[in-house]
Amino acid sequence: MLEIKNIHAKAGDKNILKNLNLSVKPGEVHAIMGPNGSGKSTLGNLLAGMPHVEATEGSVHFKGKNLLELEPEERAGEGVFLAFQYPVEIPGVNNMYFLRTAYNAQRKYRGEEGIDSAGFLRMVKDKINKLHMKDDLLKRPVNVGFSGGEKKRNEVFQMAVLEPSLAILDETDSGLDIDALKIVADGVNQLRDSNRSFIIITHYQRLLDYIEPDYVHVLADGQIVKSGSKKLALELEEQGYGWLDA
Amino acid sequence: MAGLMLDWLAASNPQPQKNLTWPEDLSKKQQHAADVLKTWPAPGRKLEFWRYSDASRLKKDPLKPQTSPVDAAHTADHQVVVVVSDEGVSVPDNLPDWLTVEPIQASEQPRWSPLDQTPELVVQAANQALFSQGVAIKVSAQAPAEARILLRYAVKEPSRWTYVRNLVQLAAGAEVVVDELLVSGRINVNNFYQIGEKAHLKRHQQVILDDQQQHISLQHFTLAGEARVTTQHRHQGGDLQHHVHWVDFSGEQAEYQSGSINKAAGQSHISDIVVVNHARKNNRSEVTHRSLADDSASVFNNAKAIVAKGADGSEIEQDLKNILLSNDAKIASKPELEVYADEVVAAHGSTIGTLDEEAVFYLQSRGIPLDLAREMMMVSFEQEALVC
Repeated sequence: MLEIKNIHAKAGDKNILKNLNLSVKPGEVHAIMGPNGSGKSTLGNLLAGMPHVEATEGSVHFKGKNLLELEPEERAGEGVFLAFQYPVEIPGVNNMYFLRTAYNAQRKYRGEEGIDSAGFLRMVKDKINKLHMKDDLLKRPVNVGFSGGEKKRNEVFQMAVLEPSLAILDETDSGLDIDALKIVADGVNQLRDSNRSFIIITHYQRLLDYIEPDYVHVLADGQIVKSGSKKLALELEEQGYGWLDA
Repeated sequence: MAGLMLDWLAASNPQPQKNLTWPEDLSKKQQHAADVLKTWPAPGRKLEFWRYSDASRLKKDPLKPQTSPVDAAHTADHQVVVVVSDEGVSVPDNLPDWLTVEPIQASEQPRWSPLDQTPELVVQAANQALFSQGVAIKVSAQAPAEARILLRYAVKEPSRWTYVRNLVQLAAGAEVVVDELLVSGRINVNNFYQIGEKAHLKRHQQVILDDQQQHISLQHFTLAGEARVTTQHRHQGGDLQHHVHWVDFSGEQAEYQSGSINKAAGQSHISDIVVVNHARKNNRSEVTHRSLADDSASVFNNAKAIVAKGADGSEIEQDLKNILLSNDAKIASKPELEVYADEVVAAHGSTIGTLDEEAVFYLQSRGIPLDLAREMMMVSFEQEALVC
């Protein structure tokens, strides 16, 4: 599904990713861990098409298409979703309108019919109930006045509505208390299926107690220096990242 | 200066000699206004209100008939619709008991704004010398909660300036919504709002113009004790828009709140100027502007509060935010506080920037195309200026 080969990328003027390789197959969950500044978020931003993050070498193919040639909205239409580390506030635009606009824009990109507001409302209410979230979320302006936890939950809710093929969660667990963490993890687990893949970027092993990854990768200085099973995350939790330099 | 006066006379619709049939007292006042006008400088860059505008556009002949690109015909929510057109002012026959509307020249004492305030108001002063029509509206305290009046400007004459002067008086305790809508015409309008004690005026001004239209307005509000004015302005497009909101408090515990959304594109210029005179104690003013300029357009925002000596307890808030959407667009944004009193709470701020690229990316990352994402961010930007 996703093939990243020898990718080098810079954020602004700074070279961040240096010869990174990663292959993600349908249905797989990959956890990316690593110290601050190692390039975890840059990887997520590169895949989603953030301006100012630019690949200088290498390739990224998603479902056979050159992802780097696509605009951010085209990548979303292809099924890429980035749950932001710091979700943006958009005053005056309510979640419901925002999500329906996004949902129909993706359908239009794929050559599908848009959905009317009544049908969309039924669909999102069903989703929000399954995620055990409050439906006042729909009426509120996007992320405005949300607590840190609410913003992260809203990201997971958007993911549930948009049903991407590849979801990248950029430190979605940061700043969450244990109950919120469970809700977020539950949302991700509900979406897991044989066609949907996840890249979960995190600092801590605790999220992986609730979302069991197929692979754990350690990113250091812009490249993957170690890969393994869930046990690798436990080792990192115990020993930190220092031993990787030894 | 005489040349300036003659230019305006020639460009007036209809020609001002028609006004000779008006009451003598009114004609005298108009003549006095014309005499004063001759001593004032023509609008130009030496005047602060015109520093960032191209005043020569005032004399420009439009190339085609002017009609607002927005369909402004919707009147279903209004109990009373007053239409200003080439034929004069039309008022419905059956007015509700809480309302009187009469021609401005028939009003007992049409309010006459003193001309010695400032030459900055030179274009508005031309209105005093040349106005040919308008209405005097009185709203009594018996007006129902949903009372709503529409002032609709629909003048067909495309090139000459039509000068309109209106007076709106709210009795003590009255509440009303007044919507002002420009449909068509090259109009210079002076509106005088006198708000009685504990009365509340909600007002919406919508001036959405095509790329050749021009519009000049003065809104002069006088607020008695505990009166409130909440006024919302949407100014968009046009060759030239020049709006002045002039506020005087005549009592205490009154509040003026305004929100302006200015959107200029192409070669448009919009000036949006608010001057609040805190001459009395314990009054509050809050001015919010959100402006966007694209292409080679320009916007001038000015919020000025003058707090007189002894006007303690005044509260002032000025919040001007601006977005440049192109490299050639220009915005001048100027919050001003002139405070001579000792105990005043005042805050002012002004920013000029671009659309939040991270937010645009956030929307794109959900599948929303760039153009629509930028449009949504512009709508979002306007929200804080929606005051009623």
